[in-house]
Amino acid sequence: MFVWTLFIQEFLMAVVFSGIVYVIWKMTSSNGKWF
Amino acid sequence: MSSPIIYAAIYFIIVVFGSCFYFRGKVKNVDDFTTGGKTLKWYMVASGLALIPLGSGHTMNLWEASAGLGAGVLFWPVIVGGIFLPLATLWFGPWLRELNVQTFPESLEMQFGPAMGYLNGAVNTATWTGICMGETLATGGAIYGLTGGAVPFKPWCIIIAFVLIIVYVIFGGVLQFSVVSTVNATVMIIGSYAALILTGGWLTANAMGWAGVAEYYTSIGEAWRLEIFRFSPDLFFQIIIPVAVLHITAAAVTQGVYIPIFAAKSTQEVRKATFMAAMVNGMASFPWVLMAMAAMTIPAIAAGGAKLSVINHAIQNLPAPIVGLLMVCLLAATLSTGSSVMLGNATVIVDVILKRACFPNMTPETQFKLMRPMVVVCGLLACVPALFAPMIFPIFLWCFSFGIPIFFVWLAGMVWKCSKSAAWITILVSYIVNFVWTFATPSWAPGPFALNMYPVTVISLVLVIVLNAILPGEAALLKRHRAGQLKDVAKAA
Repeated sequence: MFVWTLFIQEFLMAVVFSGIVYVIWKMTSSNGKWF
Repeated sequence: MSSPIIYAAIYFIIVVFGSCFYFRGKVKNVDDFTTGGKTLKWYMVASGLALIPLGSGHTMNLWEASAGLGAGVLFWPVIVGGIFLPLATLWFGPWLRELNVQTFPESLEMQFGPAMGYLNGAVNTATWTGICMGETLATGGAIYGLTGGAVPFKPWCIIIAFVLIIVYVIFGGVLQFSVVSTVNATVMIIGSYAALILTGGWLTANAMGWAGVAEYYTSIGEAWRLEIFRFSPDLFFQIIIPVAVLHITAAAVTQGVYIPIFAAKSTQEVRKATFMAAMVNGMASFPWVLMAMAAMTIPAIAAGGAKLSVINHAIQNLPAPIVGLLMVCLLAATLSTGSSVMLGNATVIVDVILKRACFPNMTPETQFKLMRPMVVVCGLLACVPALFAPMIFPIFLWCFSFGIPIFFVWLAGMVWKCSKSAAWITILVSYIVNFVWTFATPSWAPGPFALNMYPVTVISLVLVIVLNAILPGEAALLKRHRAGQLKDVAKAA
């Protein structure tokens, strides 16, 4: 059903986008100081 | 009076007056009012952050746009929730907390001197008053629509919107905003998804369910509306790029966005809020867009236009308590944006313009006494024009575009270089371009590039890079600040 497909796609996109930003932050931070 | 508005009124009376009673006597000074004494836990930071950029754009504008662009409009909340909010909680907000400033313009003042802080304080307050005027109109529109036109739009729906925006923050400032936002975020998610489920039930009982909606769009040759990943130039230039640019740049330099971040107990609490804020904001638009897509398959509702599709569907097909709940959800979305702007504007006017620029000897007690009247004044500045003028899209973008060059010079000043000359030239040239593109759009500007935000973004970015590369300046603010901290630590050792 397209409703579930859209819901899962949007949920995954929100997770992936925020996850990418988080990973970049994690990779560029050190000793509590971040870029 | 229709019953949905009675349900909504009961909800807001309980929440607003309950919070008023709760915070009675607890807000004793200007720090309590503007930063909540820095006591907010991560879930309150997340709720506030999720709701602040979740205004009429996430709801009413988006369901209207879905009639032309299909489910692809869902990129809007994904970009705001998935990119902008994590940027704010992981970088921008923690930077401001690290600098120990109380307002965003103070960080600009540290980079480029007091005049830049005053400019940002004055211009940003004025432009966001314009944006809040749009939110006041949208809130009034939601009240008007969901009461079935029982309450006249002008002046009463606008006045009710004004009163609701003010009472959202007037009693307890940031603390009240955060508690009400936490309740509203919960109710909004539960209420809007409940309405979506009931819409599915109604479709199953009266039509062919959601499958019938899919079949309808397929039968008219528009099955692409059912897909998020059906990219088109319109989707890129009307939704994806404007939403990304206007939020990541213009919204990021606004005091209102940082209200929960300044009020957080610690920077750790801000970072912990990242995923909850991202998911609540990112998923909040889904029910509205899906209800609009279903409503537009019903000829009688489609005839009323996309703008009223969800409202007409709710009034005609859903039970009164659910219509009341939808009104609460819609108002929760629009009021949170409007009230955060009011609180942010009042804070900047009192702290940056009145205290720092005009009366440096002002006492904290006087600041506190001025805060509540200033919230009302800021509300009136948005409400009174809303009674007489419509909000025109280019003017909305005009207001937003003033923040774009501020963001680029601020970002460069934070991590690259603080060049006063580069900052002033970039901002002044970009403002001139913004005026020209808004009020005398060049006839040769092609298609979407006739919109003022595109040339302002390009000019700002190019000037920041080129001018900072060739003009002299000091080291990045964060670098200097951290070097200072290291010296202090060395002295202490």
